[in-house]
Amino acid sequence: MQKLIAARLLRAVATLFAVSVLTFFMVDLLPGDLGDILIPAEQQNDRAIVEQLREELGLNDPAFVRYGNWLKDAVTGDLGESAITRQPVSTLLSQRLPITLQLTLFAIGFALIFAVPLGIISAYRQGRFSDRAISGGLQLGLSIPNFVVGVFLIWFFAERLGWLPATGWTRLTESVSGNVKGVILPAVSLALVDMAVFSRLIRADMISTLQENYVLSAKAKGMSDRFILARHALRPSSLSLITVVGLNIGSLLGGTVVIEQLFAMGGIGRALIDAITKRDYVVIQGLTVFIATVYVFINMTVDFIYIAVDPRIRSGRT
Amino acid sequence: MSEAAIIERVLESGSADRDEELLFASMSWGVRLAVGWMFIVIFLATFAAWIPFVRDPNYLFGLFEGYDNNAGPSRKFWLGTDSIARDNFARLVYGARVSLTVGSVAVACGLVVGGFLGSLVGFYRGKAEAITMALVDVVLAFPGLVLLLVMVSITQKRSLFVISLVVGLLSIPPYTRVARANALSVTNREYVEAARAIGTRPMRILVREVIPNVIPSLIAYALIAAAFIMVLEGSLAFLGLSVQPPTATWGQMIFQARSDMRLSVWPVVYPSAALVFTVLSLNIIGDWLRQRNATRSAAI
Repeated sequence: MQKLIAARLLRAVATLFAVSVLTFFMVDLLPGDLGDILIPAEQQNDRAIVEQLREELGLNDPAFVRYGNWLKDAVTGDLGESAITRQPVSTLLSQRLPITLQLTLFAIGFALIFAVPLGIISAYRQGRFSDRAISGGLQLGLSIPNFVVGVFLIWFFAERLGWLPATGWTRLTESVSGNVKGVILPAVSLALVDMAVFSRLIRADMISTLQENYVLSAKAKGMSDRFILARHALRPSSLSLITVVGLNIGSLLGGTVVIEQLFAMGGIGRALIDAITKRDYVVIQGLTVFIATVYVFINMTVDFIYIAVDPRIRSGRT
Repeated sequence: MSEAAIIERVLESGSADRDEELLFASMSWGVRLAVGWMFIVIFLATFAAWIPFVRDPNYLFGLFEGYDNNAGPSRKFWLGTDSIARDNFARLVYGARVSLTVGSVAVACGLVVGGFLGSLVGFYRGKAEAITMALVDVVLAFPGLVLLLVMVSITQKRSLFVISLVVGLLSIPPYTRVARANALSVTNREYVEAARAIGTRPMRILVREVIPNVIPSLIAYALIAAAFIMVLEGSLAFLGLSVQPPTATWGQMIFQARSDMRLSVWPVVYPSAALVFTVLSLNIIGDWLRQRNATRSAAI
């Protein structure tokens, strides 16, 4: 088991290294560089000054030297600072992360709250009308892009009914109800697709579990359907659910980019879009590496949970 | 053709004829509707320029002919006009072009490059497999939209060609992963063993036995991946980072009409519905193909 964990850790570190290389050189390919931003416009025409400043900034070094310097700092948590606002990327992250995190957790929460009962009902009533209605609805839900959901939610709940705010995010410390109100619409927009994914997974898993002999024996012992569903049938499905929830938290980080923009919430996704439109190279690099790092860590954690939960993997039999 | 392959082919051709007959019958109504919708969208998008009732999507009917902005549906404008009095229906049809082009290029790149690469390393294994899959892991370590955003911002000019190219490039790794997984299981099947036993060369086994059996699962995956790509392109357009205006795209139409949503929701509904129906249709057809594949391979 230790060997397994070590191997997995090693792979995660290797992936992270490759991710940082890819990000660095991708951003390096962006037209223009720091020199265009940092050197004042009136000096841009003076070749000598430009060259001297570029030399000082290390912009004339070969790409791999610059990568080395960047990585050396990045490992210690210093992702550089924005060329435009002069704010360190790490500060930007600590300010923006809570918003994205809250949004993601609420989205996953909403998705699970609806997905579990829908999946159970669907599996229990397999092939009947309620199952077909739910499955059809989920298929549709799976096909509605989050920004389309968001646009219509804003239109209906914010503009027509005026129940919830269309934009902005309130700090939890300022107002608890304001904070929760502000996060409902964007979280629901993000949750719809995940809800469909989770629900379909639970249904498929439970249908196969319900055919197992131990479910039959539980029935024979006279246990109620409700008890069997909750105790015997749902539990085996939880492992694959953990995996998919984990993987979806990662991909939600990408999804929040659009939703944060739509709802004008200043999370990491919005910061990334801002950096891209302003060509703030250091920030793009830092944020992208951060997002990919989180993604890699979540995937690794999911694997660890597997190792911890599933005795077959733990003993290395599969 | 090797003997094993001939036997296989003979057995297959018998069932293939039956399949043709059953193809339509095996479709549920949902699948038939989905196929129908895709036919309509593909037809309109392909022949938009030659269809008389599809007008110029960028013609300003307000400026040149005095029609109203944001007009409701009429006999001339089936879906009304947008905020600068362009024909909504024409823009919807031309928007389908962008979605379909991006989707098809992604599928083509994924199937040809990713499919071949995945089958190759899944069949031969060894170091090449380890390296390829490590690279695939790296690319897939980024959320798709984030990588797409950064790559799109590298390109100066965001033409349809460039966007399709970027999306195509990004499509290769996931297809490689799917193709490899399928190639691994196909390689263990009896008919591959049989072909090996009668001394067929590995390259021939790959081309004649492995790849043809990887393709069905890959195509089912391709449809669902295409749906995902269309949503991705829509998100990009919605952020203003897809193909540059005035080219009509569904995502950008939604974004534009949103500002006038208080006046009328319909200009947002049309492109949203077009996008959702197309994604839904691809998902439905993909699911259907996957189920068919599952029952067929269970029957072999």
